[in-house]
Amino acid sequence: MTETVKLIREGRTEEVWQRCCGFIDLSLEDFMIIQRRLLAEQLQLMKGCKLGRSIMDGANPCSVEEYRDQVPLTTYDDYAPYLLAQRDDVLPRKPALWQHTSGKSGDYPFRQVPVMAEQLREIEPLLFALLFFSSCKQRNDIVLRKHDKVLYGMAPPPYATGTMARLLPPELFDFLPPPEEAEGMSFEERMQRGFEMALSEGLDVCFALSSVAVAIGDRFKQKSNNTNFKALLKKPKAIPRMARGLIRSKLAHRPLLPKDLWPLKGLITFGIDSSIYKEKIKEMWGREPLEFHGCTEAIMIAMQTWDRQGMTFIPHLNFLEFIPERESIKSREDPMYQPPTLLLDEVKPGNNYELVITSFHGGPFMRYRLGHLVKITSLRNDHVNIDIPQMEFLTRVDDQIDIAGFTRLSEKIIWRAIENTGLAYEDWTVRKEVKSKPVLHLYIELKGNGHVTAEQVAASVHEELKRMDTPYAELESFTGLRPLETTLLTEDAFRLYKLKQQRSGADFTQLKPPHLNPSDDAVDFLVNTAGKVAAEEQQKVLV
Amino acid sequence: MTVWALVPLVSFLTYIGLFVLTLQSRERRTGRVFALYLEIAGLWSFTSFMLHLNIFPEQVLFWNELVVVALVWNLITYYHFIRAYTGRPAGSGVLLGYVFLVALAALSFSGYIVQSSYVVEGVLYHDLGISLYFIGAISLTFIVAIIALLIKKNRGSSDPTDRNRTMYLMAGWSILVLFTYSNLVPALAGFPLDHIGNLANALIIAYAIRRYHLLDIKLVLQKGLVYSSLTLLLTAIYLLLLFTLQVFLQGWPYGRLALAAGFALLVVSLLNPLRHFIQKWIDRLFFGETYDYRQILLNFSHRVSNVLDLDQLAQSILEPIVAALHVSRAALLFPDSGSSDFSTRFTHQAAEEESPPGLSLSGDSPVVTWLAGEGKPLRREFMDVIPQFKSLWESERTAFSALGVELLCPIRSRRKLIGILALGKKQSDSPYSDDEVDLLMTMANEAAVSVENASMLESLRSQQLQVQQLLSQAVQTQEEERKRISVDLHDSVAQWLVAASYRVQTCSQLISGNGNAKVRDELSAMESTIDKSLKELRRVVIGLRPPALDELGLSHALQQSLGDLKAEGLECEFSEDGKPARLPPNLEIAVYRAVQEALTNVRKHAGATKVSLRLQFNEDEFVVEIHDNGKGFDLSRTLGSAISVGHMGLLGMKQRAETLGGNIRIRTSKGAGTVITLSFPVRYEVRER
Repeated sequence: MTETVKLIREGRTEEVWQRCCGFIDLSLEDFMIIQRRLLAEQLQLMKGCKLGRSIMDGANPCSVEEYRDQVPLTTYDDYAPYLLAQRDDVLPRKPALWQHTSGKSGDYPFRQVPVMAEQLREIEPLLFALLFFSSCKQRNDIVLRKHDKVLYGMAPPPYATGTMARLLPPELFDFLPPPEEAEGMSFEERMQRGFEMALSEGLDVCFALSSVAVAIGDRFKQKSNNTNFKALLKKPKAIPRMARGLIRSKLAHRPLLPKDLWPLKGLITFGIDSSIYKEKIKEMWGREPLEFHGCTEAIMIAMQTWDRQGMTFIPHLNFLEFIPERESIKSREDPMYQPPTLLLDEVKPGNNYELVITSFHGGPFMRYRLGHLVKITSLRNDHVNIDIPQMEFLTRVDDQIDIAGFTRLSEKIIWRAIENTGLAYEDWTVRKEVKSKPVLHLYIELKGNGHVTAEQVAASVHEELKRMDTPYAELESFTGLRPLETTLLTEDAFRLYKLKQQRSGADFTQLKPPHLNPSDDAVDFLVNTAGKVAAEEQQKVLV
Repeated sequence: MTVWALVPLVSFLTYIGLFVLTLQSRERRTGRVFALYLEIAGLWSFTSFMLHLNIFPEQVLFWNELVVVALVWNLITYYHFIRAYTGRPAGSGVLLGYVFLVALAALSFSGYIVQSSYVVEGVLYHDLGISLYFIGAISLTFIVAIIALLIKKNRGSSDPTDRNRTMYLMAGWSILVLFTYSNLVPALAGFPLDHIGNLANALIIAYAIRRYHLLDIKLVLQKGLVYSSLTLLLTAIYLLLLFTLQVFLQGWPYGRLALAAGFALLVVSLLNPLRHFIQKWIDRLFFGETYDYRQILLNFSHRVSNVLDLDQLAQSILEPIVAALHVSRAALLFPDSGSSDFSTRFTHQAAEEESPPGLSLSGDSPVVTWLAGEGKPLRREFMDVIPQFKSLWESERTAFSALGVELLCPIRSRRKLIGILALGKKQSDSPYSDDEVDLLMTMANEAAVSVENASMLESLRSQQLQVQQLLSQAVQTQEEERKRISVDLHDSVAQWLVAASYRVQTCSQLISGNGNAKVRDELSAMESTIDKSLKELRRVVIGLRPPALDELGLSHALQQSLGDLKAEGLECEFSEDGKPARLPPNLEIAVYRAVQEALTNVRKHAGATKVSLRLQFNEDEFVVEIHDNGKGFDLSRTLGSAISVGHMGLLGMKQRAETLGGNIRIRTSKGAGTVITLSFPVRYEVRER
């Protein structure tokens, strides 16, 4: 039994709150003391292991300043030789488990990341913090009870969200379905079974990928007019709930929604698209989702509190550094450039930063560029009275595109998918765009333009991606989302872009737009300006 | 209306008041269920009041039926409340209880429960028939379930406040059950004693729930017991005295009132001594064999106020704590010299086993920061709760666990953390209660000044020792340097001067003829100058390091020194007691220098005609006594002004003696000569002379 469970069992509410949620009451000074002290511990650990020595490359930093000065910024490439082979012997501590990212990451099938027991010990209270924040109205307001019903709509182990599910104590919550039953089920089966059980037994808390939460809502809408009453008769406990839900939906003159069936205590959503789906989820589930930000490498970085405003950084899982956006762009244009970083007590509100983390508690990463662009929305939360800077997630700025939290697509896999379609193309670029829903927008210049339509190209590439990346395929099968859109660029669009860059004196490496995440200016030129220029040239030829 | 109707009325009014008080704490389930319990308890009191009021005798049966239903309802809602309090859902027990209640109500209002009922002068007489046993059995099941839940809760909790709260509930419930079952005693049946119990229970619960930081249950019970015992005893004494008065002075009409008043005064005068006696008796009852140690802890400040030795002080703190509180181990941590880190300096443990390695805390540890800033005791489990402790290193967490540290009490003086009292687990494995923590903090606060003084003294001693060591080193270096210069002068300059003297003599012999007389005179003068230089040089060499000291020993060197004085016309005596032996070289040179200093003073300032030097080679002590018959001096004045006027001779002697662990004693007064006695602890060396 963990300390948190023990305190909950003993009914020591204030102490439970302090243990799990107390970090929001730290002053920024206290926050930085924790950061500096745990970094000092981490440095000692890293100096004593092969991985640490390899990353530090002879440097021997003894303070935060020396660390930032002497140790270079890193990417997964620096760790891949050790982590992909799951080399326990090079790590600062023996891992409790290994988890990995979803989708293919660059040259690797996925990114393997070790998780230490000490990290798990620190994550467990933070999961409770998510539960408490999602269901409370003020400090110390713990409304969750033993045997509350929890539906876990996130990926299972060995994904990071699965690690979190493992940490929620089954002796306190009734999982739908129970973990032993859930193991071995596919994601879709698990969800199906979970909702069947929730109809009979009720549902108090829902953890879900934001895209999954929306997809579930959509399914309810679709099915509301053809309720299977025969099947319902087999589950008599579900009948009153279903009847109540149907009456509510009829009175509101709209299809049946999850909120008609379950008055949720808490709804926690995860995924880079959470903020996009927020309103939709609220409308469907009757409760504003609580967002948190994390990833496989950093586990948890920040979370919202009960006011659902900016996210509050977590002080004791990772050492946080921030690369100003301008410096981040500069460093991506010039890979040799080492951008300067700021600490949390140096960031400015309204500015955007790329996140850099160093794992605490024996985790493997040092000055690791997550590729996450965040905005510091304010230096404190006046509403809830939190003295720690608040953030919101903006986008990924690395060589990955996240798709609805299900998968991350790399340049390589998209390129291969395009190649596999057999289409003759000049060049392409792709980025994630948010309209009413997030889409993966492919801009492609075909050779011999005019033979195929944009829809045909999108369908072909989509099929190839489904074939090559299982999580991408699951995205469609479960949520019904088909996120790929295509725009066919006019002939010579990329050549004209190159000419423009050459005239503006751009560096050799910047003559072409990047394949992933091109800037708005680049896309605008390719779609609009290049089109116009090509049309004018064609006009001249005709004249 | 009789007085018996008043009891449920007061009870009812109290419930109304309590109900209003709990309005603001309805957000939580426990609060809501407690409010329900209060409502039903109020209903029970009200029906009982109406029953005992007996305004409409024809309605007595109805009210009695209501009372029976309300009583059972009250029991079930209390069970419901205890389930909520212990963090359990209502469960089937509560459901069954309400089913039983509905059945009971139906039976009761159908006339199957209360067979007959009437009230005479406020006392109820009723017949419940066989249903009494049925209701009793069901009620007993719930009573047992309630007690079991509370015991389980108490055992499962490690939070002293929570345990206290549960103990309050147990105490309240016991009172209620006791008073309710008093109705089974025929003499008491019919009186509303159960409402007194119910009222007491409700008040105790309200107090326990609404006050988060409770007084320690033991303390409250203790005080309660003391004062109720005192009241009982005094009343008994007074009644006994009055009874005696009645028996022996029966028929005597005079002064009875005055005697009664006198007895009352006598009883009042007994109040204080009796209270002390009872308090002691109750304390012993509660604390058993640890009572005496607790007294030691409580009287701690008296005992340690004058203790300036840190070792002794640490023992005075740690030993009684371990014995009184049955602690496995207690330790005192103090700052390391010249650092803000804290390390274990003293440990005391209950069992005679090998001590584990001491705890060390770095100055920037959140534990040290917290103890210094908050000044409050820190329980180990709070380190897993308070967010500031997120910065604890794994090695620190492991050390706390490995050493079994359960409680840390800061020792602060003038808001500065000067020490930490670290306590291990109690042998019973139970957590430290609030009164124990208070006791420890009282002790830590009282010890703070003494600890600070002792620490300062120790630090001063340490500094003094360092200074002495440095001084000793400086003296040794000085002597070695003198020796080196002496040898150098003797081996080089002295030899050259001798050579120059020989050459001058040779030149003088080589020059012949009258015409060279002036040259010979000059050479003779030169030879004389060289001789003088040589003599002076030898004096300096001997002064720097008398060869006799190394070669012939201290006695010879000192006799030589006396010889110099003798040459100046002073009467000198030298004597030795014991078996003369060689002393360690550093001691010999120190004694030699000290005696030289003394003899110089005799020669320059004493105006003495006689000086005697006596050496005593005792078994473990070497003593030198220099005695002159000079004019003496004002010792305190001379020593007092020595530094300011730059006369460091006596201080130098004292310093040299103390550096070697010796002593100097000076006896003098004006006109009475001076006796200087130097004594050194010594181990004689066997050395070749």
